[in-house]
Amino acid sequence: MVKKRLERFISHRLDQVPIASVYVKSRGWYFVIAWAHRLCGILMVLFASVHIYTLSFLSTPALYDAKIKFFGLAPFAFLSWMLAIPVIFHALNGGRLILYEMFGSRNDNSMTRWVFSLSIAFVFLQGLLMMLWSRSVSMLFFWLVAATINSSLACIVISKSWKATGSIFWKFHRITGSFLLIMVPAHLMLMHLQPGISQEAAMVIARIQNPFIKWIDLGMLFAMLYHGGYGLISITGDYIESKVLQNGLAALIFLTMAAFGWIGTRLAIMI
Amino acid sequence: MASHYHITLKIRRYDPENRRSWIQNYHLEAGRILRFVDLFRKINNEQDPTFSWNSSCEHGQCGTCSVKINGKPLLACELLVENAVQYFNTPVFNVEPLEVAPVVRDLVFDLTKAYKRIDQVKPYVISPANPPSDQDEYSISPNEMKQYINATRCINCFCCSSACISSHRNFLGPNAMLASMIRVLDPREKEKAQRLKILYGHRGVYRCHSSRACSFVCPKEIDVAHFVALAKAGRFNDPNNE
Amino acid sequence: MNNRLRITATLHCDLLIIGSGGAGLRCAANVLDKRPETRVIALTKNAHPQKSHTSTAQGGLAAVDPGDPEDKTIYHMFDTWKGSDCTADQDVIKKICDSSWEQILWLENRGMHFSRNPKGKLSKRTFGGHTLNFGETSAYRAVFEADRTGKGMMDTCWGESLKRNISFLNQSIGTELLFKAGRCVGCLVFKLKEGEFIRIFSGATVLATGGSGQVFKITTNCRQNTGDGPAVALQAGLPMMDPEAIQFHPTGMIGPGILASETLRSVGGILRNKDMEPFMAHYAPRMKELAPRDLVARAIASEIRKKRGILSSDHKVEHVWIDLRHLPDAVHEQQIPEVSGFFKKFLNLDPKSELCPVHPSSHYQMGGISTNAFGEAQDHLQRRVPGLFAIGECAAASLHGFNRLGTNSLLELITMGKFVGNKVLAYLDHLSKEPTATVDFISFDRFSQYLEARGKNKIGQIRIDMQELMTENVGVFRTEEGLSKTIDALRELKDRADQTALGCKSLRMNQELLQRWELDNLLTVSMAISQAALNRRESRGAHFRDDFPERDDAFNHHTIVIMGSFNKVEIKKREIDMSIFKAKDQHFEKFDFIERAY
Ligand SMILES: Cc1cc2nc3c(=O)[nH]c(=O)nc-3n(C[C@H](O)[C@H](O)[C@H](O)COP(=O)(O)OP(=O)(O)OC[C@H]3O[C@@H](n4cnc5c(N)ncnc54)[C@H](O)[C@@H]3O)c2cc1C
Ligand code: HEM
Ligand code: HEM
Ligand code: SF4
Ligand code: F3S
Ligand code: FES
Repeated sequence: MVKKRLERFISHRLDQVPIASVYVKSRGWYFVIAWAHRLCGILMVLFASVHIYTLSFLSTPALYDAKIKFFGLAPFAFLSWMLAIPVIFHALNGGRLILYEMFGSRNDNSMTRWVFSLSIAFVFLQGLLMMLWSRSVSMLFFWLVAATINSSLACIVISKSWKATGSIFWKFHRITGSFLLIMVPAHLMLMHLQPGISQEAAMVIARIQNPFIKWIDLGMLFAMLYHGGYGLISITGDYIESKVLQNGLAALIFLTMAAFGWIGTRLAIMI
Repeated sequence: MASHYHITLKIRRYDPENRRSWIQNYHLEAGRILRFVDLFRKINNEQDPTFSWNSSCEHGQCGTCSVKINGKPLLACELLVENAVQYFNTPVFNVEPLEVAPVVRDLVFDLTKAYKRIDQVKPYVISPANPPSDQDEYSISPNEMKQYINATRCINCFCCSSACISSHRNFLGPNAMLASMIRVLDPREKEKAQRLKILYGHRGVYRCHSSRACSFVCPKEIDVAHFVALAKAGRFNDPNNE
Repeated sequence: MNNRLRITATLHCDLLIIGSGGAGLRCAANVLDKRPETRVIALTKNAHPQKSHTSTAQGGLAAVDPGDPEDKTIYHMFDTWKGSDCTADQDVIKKICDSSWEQILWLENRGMHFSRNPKGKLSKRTFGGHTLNFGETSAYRAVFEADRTGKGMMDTCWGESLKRNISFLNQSIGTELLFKAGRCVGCLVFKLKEGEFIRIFSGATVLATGGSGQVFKITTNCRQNTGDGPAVALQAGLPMMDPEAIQFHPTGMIGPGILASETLRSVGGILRNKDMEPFMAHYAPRMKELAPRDLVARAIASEIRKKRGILSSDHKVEHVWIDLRHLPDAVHEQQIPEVSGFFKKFLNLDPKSELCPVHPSSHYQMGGISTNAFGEAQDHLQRRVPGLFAIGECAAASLHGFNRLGTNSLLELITMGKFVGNKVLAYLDHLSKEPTATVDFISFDRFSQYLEARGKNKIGQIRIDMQELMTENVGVFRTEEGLSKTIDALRELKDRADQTALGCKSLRMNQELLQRWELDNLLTVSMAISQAALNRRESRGAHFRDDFPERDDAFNHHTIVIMGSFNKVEIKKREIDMSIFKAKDQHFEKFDFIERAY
């Protein structure tokens, strides 16, 4: 009863969001969600580029410390908290899409509700942790758990798509998506557990020197670059009619991703 | 419910002679269960005979009368004034042609061009399997048919295509996907390889992002997105590959 | 003459199909199947062939399954003969019924999605007027695709033609047949989107333009069914046969007249009057709701005339109810989902719990361009017109006589489509070479007259007036007085039509110009119908004269109408083919002029 009322209240409010409501009436909620998913995806690609660029300063720790101070400022702290919104929404919704498309879960209204509820919970949890700002965790243990769970998820998706007809690139996009499903939100949350965990070059370098974490980072890096790159190419495929222009753009995106891959790998290996 | 409504239609018009496009307002007095095609006819008969629109069966069976009303692609012959006022919560309606193909005049768009995409997926049995005997029909169990029978209900109104998040440039369209899927699942079709190639090609299912606007607007209430997702899940037994 | 009108291209082809409905495309598919190199052009007035009226047929397609232990082709032939009120041609009946199952298999093998029984074979349902053992019990004879049989057929015929490289010209109207030395050599075509005339020279030309339901105010027919084919034929001096035979579907939904399929009655829907009485028992004690259409239509009209109808406040029309409330949910959801959904969609009411308002709605034109049993067009002396064929609803061969049985029309499309295809091929074989010479035509004169006419009349209003007039006087019940009045009034309407200025003078996609042309065709066909109805002083099948309520043997013939001009109508006769009766085979006595009681 309460749940119903709450839902009605929320959907009523949502119906009044100016632009969205027009689309909800004319194309339905999933259309709006698909746009949100797309925008979050693009936003993350942009963030990731900046991210890897800043991380590249780690090769001169002093420079990194100097530069990164800047991001410690209040408005940036707020922004880095807000980053949780696109990350978690895209991740969970991506998970839902994988279930919908590959696992035949077609009546996924309740899934959608979970996506929204968990996203909100995650964002608040992260905010809370950011404020507590002092818990110490065993990095290794944390990653072990996250990586194990996530690899099994990815394995399920791999086994599901192995024999299916269809494009291998597309399947790999879903596989990398499922691999990032927990890794990225976990990474994000972890990076906000302690002061200095990401803002002191020494601490970061010490961490990356652990071979296990190094592999985790590299795995995440390549999964993300492939996934984001394919995503962008797929978007150009929707809009660009000229085959030549489209191939050109695809090559450009590929090269950009490869460059970031190179920067990221060099970083992880050199340290 | 009121028995009469004062309706305003803001219709996007287009004159091919001088390529001029403009919005024209028509004010109408309409009974509650008149349909939008009735309103259009009323405009022709009482106010403006030059206004052009398209329809054929006028009972939701042919998919000729598709228009966008307040942004939603739908069949004008199925939309009752009463339901429209209630759904959009206004008696003022923006009426536009679908943008899936060039507009010919006013609300009439070039369905022939829109259909080019359907033609590309070969909406027929390319290579029929041999029937059990010359004088016999195939036997197809109702269960087997159930998998795809809903897709055969599509009337190619192009509403889904118009609503889809993937622009109208490269995607063959949700309805073309349906037409293709039917024969992928139909046991009478032998030629699956060619179909899968189109289905998974550059203009095929991967242009879909599961926005499910197709299922949302489909006047035949076909869960189009389900079929497109079936193709993505890709668990067909392909006799040519085995 | 309007100097913007010009012929922008001349095309040549072997076969020109005017009208890409089920009939036209079945014919095309057959020709292309047998001889893939044939150049076929198919015109449609609709935006696309799939939008043709055939797509909206719901109920089914009659055919006797040779594997059926009970049903026999002879029963089907008998039902058709009896249903036609003994006015169909028996050679046609025999040809069509004999090849029916083969044609069902053609459709099935080419991918039509017929509904199946649990064994995976084609399911069959009963339909009004189809019986076993000469009227004993209802026959399960109609194969179907849920409630979209016509759509399945249209999709299949379209797909098969598309596969074999037909050229479609959509939104293009055939305005005038071209003749050279008495042979039809093609057609003048107006392309609506481009606003251009083109000339198509063809070896053979097939008219398949469908029905003319728009003559009436309340019709199940689509917007394009304006009787163009018969009008074009009449204009070329060719005869129209049995125009007065017009079927009214008993259960059109009030308002737009949308058809509430016969299926509603075959699954158990009950007709009730104002007092909730199931009145069909008075009119057809045995068949009740399943009696043939004209009987049911007249029963409903009689109830309404006897003040036992209900007045709809929305549409100001009197109607009766069809009661579907007692049917189990499963029937609503599985057997009649689309039709029962219509009531929800178009009238905002729920047939599971509410009564549904219905009244007779003009549905099918049994008559049409006169042809022989092979679909070859004939002149008024029954001589073949070389190069011209006609099939489908626009033609009369005649399978349906004065009353069509449900599901027989779709059957006619595919069988006659095939026969005509064969004839076309044979005809093309004997054809020497392509016509190149110029031919005369009058379409420019007509179109420039439309464009230049002056006057304040409105096409829409004239059409409405005509439809009301026809519905009132030439509908389910007809009288001498009403018919004479109508004929005078039609002449007046024609004058008014000629004094109508178009608001839009553009040629491109000028809907008004099209409607002006259609109005002329509608008036022409209305005139043919009214004159023929006036002439036939008896009641037969769907043609019911209040002043002559009985069938009269003196009228045991077809009506042939020729129109020298709009005001000059000549009526002639054509004998009914009695070949089955004359062959004196088993059961021949059933094919005499028997009484039509159910
Ligand atoms: C609602 C409804 C339900 C029905 N259900 C059944 C049923 O269950 N069983 C059954 O047997 N029958 C049924 N019928 C009857 C049957 O559907 C029609 O008789 C049949 O479809 C006619 O087919 P056709 O090919 O002759 O013409 P149509 O399908 O009407 O096609 C005519 C074609 O000609 C084109 N055309 C028209 N004029 C011109 C022109 N001037 N120039 C160029 N092209 C032109 C049109 O665009 C169209 O493409 C039903 C009819 C209706 C109205
Ligand atoms: C965290 C786990 C993630 C999951 C489960 C996931 C899942 C998905 C899925 C299923 C899609 C397909 C949507 C479609 O149908 O087009 C998608 C698209 C996309 N993703 Fe992710 N993704 C994740 C993370 C990321 C990250 C980290 C990035 C950025 C680097 C990213 C960028 C994109 C982009 C750009 C698209 C294309 C969007 C579109 O085509 O509309 N995703 N993702
Ligand atoms: C504001 C929040 C974030 C902070 C503070 C942060 C910080 C860091 C740090 C310090 C590293 C170095 C490696 C390590 O410490 O393990 C790192 C690596 C990485 N981060 Fe983040 N991160 C954030 C958000 C994200 C997000 C949202 C993504 C995904 C889109 C992401 C993707 C990566 C990847 C792929 C690496 C590995 C790079 C490499 O190995 O070259 N990060 N991040
Ligand atoms: S799937 Fe539905 S919306 Fe799309 S064309 Fe077919 S009927 Fe129309
Ligand atoms: S609307 Fe378009 S995005 Fe996919 S689910 Fe339907 S095809
Ligand atoms: S006119 Fe046929 S669907 Fe509307």
